[in-house]
Amino acid sequence: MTDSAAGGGSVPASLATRTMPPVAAGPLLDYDGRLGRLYWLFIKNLLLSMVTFGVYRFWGRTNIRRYVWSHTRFMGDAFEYTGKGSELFAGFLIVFGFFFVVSTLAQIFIVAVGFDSPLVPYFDVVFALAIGYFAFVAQYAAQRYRLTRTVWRGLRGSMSGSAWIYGFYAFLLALLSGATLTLAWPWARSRLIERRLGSSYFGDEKVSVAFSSRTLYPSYVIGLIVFAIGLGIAGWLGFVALQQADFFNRVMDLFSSNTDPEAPGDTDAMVAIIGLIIAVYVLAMLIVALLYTLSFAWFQAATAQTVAAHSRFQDLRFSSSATGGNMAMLAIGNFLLIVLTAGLAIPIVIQRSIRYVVRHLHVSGILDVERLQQAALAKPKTGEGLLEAFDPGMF
Amino acid sequence: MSDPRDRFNDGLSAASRPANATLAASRLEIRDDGGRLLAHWALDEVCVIDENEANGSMVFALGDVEGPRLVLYPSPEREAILAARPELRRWRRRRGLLESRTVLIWSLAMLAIVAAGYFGWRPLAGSLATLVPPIWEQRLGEAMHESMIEQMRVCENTAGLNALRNLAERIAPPSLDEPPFTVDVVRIGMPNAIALPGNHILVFEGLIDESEGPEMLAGVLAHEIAHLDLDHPTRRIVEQLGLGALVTIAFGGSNVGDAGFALAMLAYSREAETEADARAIELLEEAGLRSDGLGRFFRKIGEDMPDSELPDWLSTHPELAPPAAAPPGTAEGDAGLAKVDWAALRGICGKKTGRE
Repeated sequence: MTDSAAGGGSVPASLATRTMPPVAAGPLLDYDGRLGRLYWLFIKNLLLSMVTFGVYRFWGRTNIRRYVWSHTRFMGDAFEYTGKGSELFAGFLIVFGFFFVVSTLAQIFIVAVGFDSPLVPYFDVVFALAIGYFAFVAQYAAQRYRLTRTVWRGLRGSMSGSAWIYGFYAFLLALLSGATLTLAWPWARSRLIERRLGSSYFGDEKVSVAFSSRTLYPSYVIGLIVFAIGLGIAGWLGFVALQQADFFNRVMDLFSSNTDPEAPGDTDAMVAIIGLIIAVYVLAMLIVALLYTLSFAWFQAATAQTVAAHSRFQDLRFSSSATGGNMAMLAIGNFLLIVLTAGLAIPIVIQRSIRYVVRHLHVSGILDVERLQQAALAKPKTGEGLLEAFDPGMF
Repeated sequence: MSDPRDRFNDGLSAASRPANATLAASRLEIRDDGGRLLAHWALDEVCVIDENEANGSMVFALGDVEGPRLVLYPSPEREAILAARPELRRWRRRRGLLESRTVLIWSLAMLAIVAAGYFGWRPLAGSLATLVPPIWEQRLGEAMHESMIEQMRVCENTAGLNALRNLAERIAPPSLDEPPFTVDVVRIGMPNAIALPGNHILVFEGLIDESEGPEMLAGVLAHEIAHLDLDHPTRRIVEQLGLGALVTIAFGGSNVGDAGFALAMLAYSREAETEADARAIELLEEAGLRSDGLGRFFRKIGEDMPDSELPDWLSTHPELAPPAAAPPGTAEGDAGLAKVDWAALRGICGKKTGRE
């Protein structure tokens, strides 16, 4: 193991280290997790969650993270995930309790003012906005939790700043983005990434990141146009296909007064058509998601490249070889894996995604390990409750 | 000889130092290559954090948070440490056991909460329902009533409606005066009627068709009025959905006006139906009406339809299982409607169409 590193990993030993013998060249960042182990953890999580009223899934998720962390190495040393299932569970209980109390109070308030009161629509809007705000707060808080639970060579990460303030900032930028028909989004998103990444510490060292969103605009605008055209074509094709299948007339029949819910034949027809409506809806959502993923893959790749190129950690530099093509392959592959297996391929998706990051994120330069000291910022006691409420998935 | 790759991180900086770890009594001494002491750990406090399957190295620490780390590859020295504390080899199983214990405790706690909710909720809902302010109940009932009336065809023959309302007026106890109760007839073929919170009753056309005489209709009407008098609809809604959802409905959830939904939601327990039957007989007798209509109606429906075809709402009726157990009531008192009024009520929905 070497205490120093350069692009490609080989550095004159005299320059880099006085303490440990140099080790063979290789990428600084490495992952050697095995799919079989991930599957075992995943199946165990699935089965135990069922028999424990869902309680186990917080521990299951922790176990998967612990496995992934401990098989990801930097400069030859594995990361450790020190989070606990009980922390995730406590966070979940707190947020769940909070939401329960707030929504009950909200509903009592609405009954008290009267459900036909002019205040009610405003109230609904405020509630929806609050959800949006909390989603951003959760994003920041979850990153802090994971950083403080990540240990490498005995040092842990941390994050400065307030999640609540970040929530306001992100919320305003999101509103602005909406007001500009999302044209401000590449800029806004860049500011948010800067803010999250630029508040992130490992040990006592902060990530420094600053970049302009100008280079992201071509891929974003093209993505928007492709997405719009794709939606138009898909919508038109879908419409024609449904009309061929007499879908619309059958749906209209459902609402017409000729249908008698008590006649057995009519009931069967109603069940069939309702099933068809659900199927068409699900299919449409899947097509939209696929189109979206494909259209913006180049924008995502450009963002990854720009962020990597403009980030520094001490004397380490980063670059990304993500391209629209490989990003699209990853995303569409993951998407199809999940959809076609109804989620049973999640371990494969985890494995592919981490491998993708490790393969396409290149770290170079020399980390002055003597200068990198233990974190001083406090760590939160409970984890990710809010993010849990917005369901970030399995991992 | 210890392995040359053995190393120590002091938990203060990211620098790794070559290290030799040796046992000295109950302590683990960690020295650098020059023999200088880097750290000494109490052996009982040492734990294993990780084990690398590929190269066999183990990471030791003083707890599973950030702090000093000792990485040891297989060697006689490491064997000596593991021999002194054999449970260190079983670190994965120990962590698994600890995890299972915590998960088990919390799962039992969840089970207790779910069980408390399941068994304790009905009595709790009953007392919560009494706390619902009348104005909320009224609003909720109005919302359900309005949207049902809007979505269904209402029968509006004046003479028939007047006859029905007079009959209901005769049966209704004073508790139904505030808010004033309403009775409407909707064009649904099912032989049924439904009582909504806020003193609203909807009689289905099918009930009038199936009734062989006014006393049968009066019996079912009294049964629905009894539900209202006993505050069953509000109690049932609180029970079914919790206070929160009571409100969601009040806001016009999309399926409020759906009769099937309302019927399913207002499907009472056997106890509640029995209570309503008993109260119905009382109400009929107090009004000086024949009280044998309700039982006869249920028996008729039970005979008309084989068990499998009974609508869900009827299946919880105690009268149907066994069918003979219906409250008999007495034939004393009048039938409730004069012949001409009964005729008007029979024709309340106008000329029959097609199927019916």
